Amino acid sequence: MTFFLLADVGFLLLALLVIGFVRTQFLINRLANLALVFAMVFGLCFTVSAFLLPNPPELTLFSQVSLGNFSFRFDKLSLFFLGIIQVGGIVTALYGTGYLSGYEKSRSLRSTLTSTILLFLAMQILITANHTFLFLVAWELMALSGYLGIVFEREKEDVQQGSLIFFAATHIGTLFLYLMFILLHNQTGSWEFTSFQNAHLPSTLATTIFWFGFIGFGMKAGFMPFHFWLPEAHPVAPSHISAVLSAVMLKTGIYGLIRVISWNPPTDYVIPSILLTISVLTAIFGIWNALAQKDLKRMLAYSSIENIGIIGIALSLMIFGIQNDQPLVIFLGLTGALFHSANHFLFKSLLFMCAGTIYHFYHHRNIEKMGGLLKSAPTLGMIVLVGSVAISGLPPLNGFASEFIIFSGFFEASKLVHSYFPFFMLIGAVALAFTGGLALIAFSKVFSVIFLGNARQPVTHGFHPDKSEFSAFFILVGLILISGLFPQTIVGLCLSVYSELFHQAGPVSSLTTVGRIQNVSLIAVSLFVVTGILLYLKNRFSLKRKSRISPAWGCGYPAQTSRMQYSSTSFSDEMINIAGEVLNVSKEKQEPESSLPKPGNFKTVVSDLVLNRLIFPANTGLLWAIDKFKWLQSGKIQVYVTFSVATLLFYLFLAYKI
Amino acid sequence: MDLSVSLQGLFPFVLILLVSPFLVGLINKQKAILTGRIGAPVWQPYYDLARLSRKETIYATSASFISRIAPVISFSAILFTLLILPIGYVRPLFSFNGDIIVFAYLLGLARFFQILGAMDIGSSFEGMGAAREATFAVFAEPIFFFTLGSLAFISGHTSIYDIYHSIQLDEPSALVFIIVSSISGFILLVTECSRMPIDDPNTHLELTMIHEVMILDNSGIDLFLYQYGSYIKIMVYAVFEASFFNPFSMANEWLGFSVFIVVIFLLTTVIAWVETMIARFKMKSIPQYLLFATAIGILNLLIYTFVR
Repeated sequence: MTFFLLADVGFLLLALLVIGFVRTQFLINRLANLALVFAMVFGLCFTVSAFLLPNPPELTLFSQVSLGNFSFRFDKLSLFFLGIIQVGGIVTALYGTGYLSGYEKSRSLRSTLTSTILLFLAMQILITANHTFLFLVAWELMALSGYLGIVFEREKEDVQQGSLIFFAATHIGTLFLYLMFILLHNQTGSWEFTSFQNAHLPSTLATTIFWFGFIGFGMKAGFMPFHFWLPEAHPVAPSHISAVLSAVMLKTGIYGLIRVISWNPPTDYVIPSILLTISVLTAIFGIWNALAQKDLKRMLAYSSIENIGIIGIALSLMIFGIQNDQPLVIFLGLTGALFHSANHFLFKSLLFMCAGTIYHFYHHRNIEKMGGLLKSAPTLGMIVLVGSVAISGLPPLNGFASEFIIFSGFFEASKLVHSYFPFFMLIGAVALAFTGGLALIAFSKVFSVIFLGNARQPVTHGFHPDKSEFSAFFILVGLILISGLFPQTIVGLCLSVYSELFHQAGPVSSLTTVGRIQNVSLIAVSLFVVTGILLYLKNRFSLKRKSRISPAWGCGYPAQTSRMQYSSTSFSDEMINIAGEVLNVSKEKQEPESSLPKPGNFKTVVSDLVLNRLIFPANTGLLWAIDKFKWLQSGKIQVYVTFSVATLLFYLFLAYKI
Repeated sequence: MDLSVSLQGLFPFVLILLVSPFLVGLINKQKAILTGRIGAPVWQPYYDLARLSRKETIYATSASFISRIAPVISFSAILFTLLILPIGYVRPLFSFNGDIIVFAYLLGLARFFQILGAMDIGSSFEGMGAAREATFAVFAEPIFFFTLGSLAFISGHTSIYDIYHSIQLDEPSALVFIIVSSISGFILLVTECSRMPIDDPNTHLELTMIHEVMILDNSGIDLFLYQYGSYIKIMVYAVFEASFFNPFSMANEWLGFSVFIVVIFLLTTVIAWVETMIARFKMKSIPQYLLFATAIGILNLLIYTFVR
């Protein structure tokens, strides 16, 4: 087992060496990504074998008297997320090879490949770290390498802005993590994660720690109102990096939240209700914004916000369960969060990667100018269709399975706990259903506008599928099908995570937990089979005999053009209007006027509410305030020395007083 | 599960498959009578289906394979909702904790592929229908969850079969509940099955239609699947509605059965009457109407929480 771990790290270092010393771009791209694949495959071997062990293995790097053991602890929660990261690494490397091969001649791939390797190194460390310092160093490394990954096309203005926002956001988040860890250290006197467990914190302190953790990790995960960096940073990164950021990196935030909750479950009864409200708002806000986007990757980024909201709903359910001592509710909440994290990883990396392939075909991301792609790329179309059905949470695929678990959690919670509870739970369930309905519109729209109908603009170049890109797609589609048709496998994994993490809460029987999902599996499989049979019958007995092709019915109007098709904006226009101010939509219309009219135009711009109404104005205000202190910056060295001395004296005074 | 129980579970499935076109024929006949016409025979939907199944299937030049698979997938999704639906005291083939969610999401799957099938043609008419269908469906979802979901939450059951059997007549709130649920259930039926005043199934002007315009370019076996699917859907919601009156069958099996039949018949009359008397709503006011129905659903929950 140690061998697997060494091989994992070894291959990552090898990849870095390759990037440093190999000359040709072609070889760098192939070899570095190959090394990443090997590293992740070995890592996955380790994860699987460690998961089968009864007790979590630990690995100590070194010990230090005052700071404690710098160690890794591979418990089942870590291993679950480690598995997600490693599968993510494999598909990213496979896809990245194909995606970057187009850039081999035009620009250096060294920085982006380094960032990918470091990103996976950092994420693997932070997920398994058992020491605050290890964790925070890895956390920073992840943020920095993420930044390095985003700025691939650094000459573009939107890339500069997006990466800067990412950078700022991630550091604000980290600040709160520092605060949280310092508070925990003050209380327990240790920096090790295992000693944070059951620290018997006073209630207010536990609440403070929870909210610091929520802001810190929630900033990374993308809870509203900390979501604002996602739609700016994800679209501008190269697609395989977007896939990692959105599908894998956000999950480190979720991991952190689950950790913090499992250490010291917040005892304040208001917390789960507030978390539920925030999550519901996040989910609905995210998907409603996704509905209004025209930029494919921006839309996917907003959809990530929605999914984080759904995971947050499950987490609040988990806290409800902990506070009311209901093992089954804890289990369903935890499983909902873990399962949906895994599912979101699968379909979101698939869709982001497909978005990259589509981008290479059109050389832009505006879905309003696409259309009819299914005819030139049927396989890609099928893959995106699978991803869209899965992410809309429809049976028989995996998105439904995890939402089903969360729904069951709501029902169980209201059954077991009385008083005002049912009301709360029902509102949560209805919000989840409403989100599902909106996701259905958003993804049916995206799929139809890109792939169906006729091409809205003539496309000159052909579609050249890349084998390594498609191998990544097939792995992901396979996993989506497996976890959708046989969700009991993942739920079984979640059950062992639960038993280890919340063993004090009491056991849950696998009959009530895994058993309930088996029916979903039964329906999913039989739906597949019956649809297949019906399709065969239809082809065999009806279409073979009588079918023909003829132009579409145009209501007697023969001159329909492809520009008259329903576009993305027109499809979602009604929903956008209903949302009103929440979406921050501005419409500019210039109608042709007078007897000699000039060409008119119509433009819809959707900008993020929080970023444009809150963050940017606040930022302007801050700059204005700082500007008032400009007189301090005299440029004279004597003045600066005086400042330093004054500050030191002030600290001395403080130290003396205390 | 032993064989006799499974066979019993198949009973509602087969029954609804056979009877659902008749229900639509019944609605149409009553509409004809209300407007002073003789109208087509009650069996007309069966003739229509038979005719469609014999006809040639035409695909648009712009259509891809989505047009070929969409009708089948949406039809089979609707078929599966039947397997979850109980009729009276017969336990359906699939009945498990949480099947209420599967029920709602299967209808979502059917809708998803109908939208794709419509958008596949690349005609602005179908696009318009698809956009409207998608928008209104979002507002129908909360109605479903507030109506049946509130009962699920209060009773603690999450399978449709168990939920219906937890309604007790001797409770004071039950009667109010039945009335309120019937109202929101009716609005749900009207929305999901594209009837008046949300959608006009008889119109022939493309701009005013929702469901009908989505299937404008479908013909032959595809149209057969869509039409048959929509007939089944009406039947599903009718049974859904009639099951609120299940408590009556507690006293006497035959009384329960006759109440069931009468309720479904009354429902067809109400649909026919509404479609004769009321014009279709303006598209803009439909979401408001649906939100009103959602409010009724919330009322339902309040009644149950506080009266009990």
